[in-house]
Amino acid sequence: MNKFSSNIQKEARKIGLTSGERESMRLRLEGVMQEHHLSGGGPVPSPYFSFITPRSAVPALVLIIVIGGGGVSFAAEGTVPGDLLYPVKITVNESVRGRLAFSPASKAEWHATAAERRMVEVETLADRGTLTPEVRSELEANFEDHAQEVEGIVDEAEAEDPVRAADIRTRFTSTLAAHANVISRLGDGSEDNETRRESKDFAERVNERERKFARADRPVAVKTERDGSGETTVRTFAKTDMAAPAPTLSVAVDADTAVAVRLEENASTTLREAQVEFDSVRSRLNETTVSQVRDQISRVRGQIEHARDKRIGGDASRAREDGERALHDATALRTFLKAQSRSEQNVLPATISDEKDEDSRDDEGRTEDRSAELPAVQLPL
Amino acid sequence: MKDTDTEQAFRKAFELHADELFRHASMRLSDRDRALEITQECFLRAWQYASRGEEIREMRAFLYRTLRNLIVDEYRKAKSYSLDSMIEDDEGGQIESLMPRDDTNTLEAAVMRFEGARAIRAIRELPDLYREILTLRYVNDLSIKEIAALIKESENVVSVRLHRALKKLHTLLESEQHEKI
Repeated sequence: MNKFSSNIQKEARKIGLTSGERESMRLRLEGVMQEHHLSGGGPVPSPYFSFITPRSAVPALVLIIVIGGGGVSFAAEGTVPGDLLYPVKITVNESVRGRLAFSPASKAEWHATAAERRMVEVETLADRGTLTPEVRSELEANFEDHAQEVEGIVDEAEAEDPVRAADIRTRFTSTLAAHANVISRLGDGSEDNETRRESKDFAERVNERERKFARADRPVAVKTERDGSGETTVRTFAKTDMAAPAPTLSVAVDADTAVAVRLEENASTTLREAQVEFDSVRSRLNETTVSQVRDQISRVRGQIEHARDKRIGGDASRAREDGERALHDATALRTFLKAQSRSEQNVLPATISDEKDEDSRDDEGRTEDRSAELPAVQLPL
Repeated sequence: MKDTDTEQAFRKAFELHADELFRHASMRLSDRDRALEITQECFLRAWQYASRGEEIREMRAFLYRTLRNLIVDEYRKAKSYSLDSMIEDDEGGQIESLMPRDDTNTLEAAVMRFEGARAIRAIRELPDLYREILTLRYVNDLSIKEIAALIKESENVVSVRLHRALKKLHTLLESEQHEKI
């Protein structure tokens, strides 16, 4: 090694993982390694983990890996409140996963996933007809915690990374809207009075959260500037507050275009996932439902193409709006199909999203009219 | 290889290479948190690959290749990096690649005048094409041959690129020096 190299290496050695980061990574790797082994049939879950508190979550995971080969945490994943391993899911699995998200965007995505896990649990309990007020309030509190985290992080990230912030915001609000509907439908279909009432309450709470989060969804104004070195910088700030620009974002392309591209990509991915869900449940659906779902898939595909055309044609803000709508509808479709695959009940509504007169979708009308954009609830197929 | 052997090999690889891979990722990405996530993802991807029954012969080289692919994906996703900076024409066509590169040592000696910290800072400012090659060579201490195998270029192309990267680094450091004076 020559001296130049050793000089640089000496300095570079200052860049390294902290012991905490190294430990988190090691744990994640161990977890994944053990999970893989379980796919061939894991050990019998132990009932002795309900004493675990979040504070002891990481050592507990090590304990579980050592004793149970990771099988307990793996087996706990699909549980709901009342199940033996549910505490492991919340206090071990989720706590560890939360710690492994480092960047704000990953953290926001993790909290959005956790909030969605609570909604899916409510759906499972509503489907079983066993949603009690105690469990509902416990799940609601946990849901609220995660949802608030998403909002806080996304609000903060708005200035620094508007593309990712807009993406997470759209996906999260779409997920909330879709789950609120699924929960209502499953609750309404229940024979248990308590379940019906509690599902309705939870769905209302989710809808409230969705409306609140969507209200904060202000369009972003964009100005491009070229500095001395010729590099293009983009300044973004909320349209409602033009006087106070947010910090400069160094992106090579127009921010609206970047958001539109991201939304298109995510809408396509989500639609592909919906298609996979559809393939797995279609044998249980009647012909009318199959053809309606098929129509909806092609309609969302059309929306994505429309958004792409607008973007290529240079209408970035319209492309962004269309992309948001496509992602919203694709998410609704995927959520309904997933719920359908978990439930014996008829979950699918006839239309996933109401067609609306495009001109009425102005910024002011948007928030108030949002409930009208939700999937029709009263339409059993 | 038995499963437990593979696991042991992975644990060892993690202990040995986590820091150098993270160092590489931090030199290439401006965001430390993303560098952490990418490093973590690199090990997870490698494990997934091995768990499908695929054999990994050279663990270190494999990890570097995986990391490189993840970084390329990251650039593509972010779109905030000018693609030009990644694909800037550095090979300089035929004439440049035929020129002798004997003064590489001279250039290294010239750059050595500057402190390590300043050199690191300056490397971060270079286009990614040069940042990558300088990081691999001088931060991660890979040989020309290893770099060539990793980036799927000939040793000649690697040497030319390295030489040009050093020149750019030298120019940058010199200009900073003049600005100070």
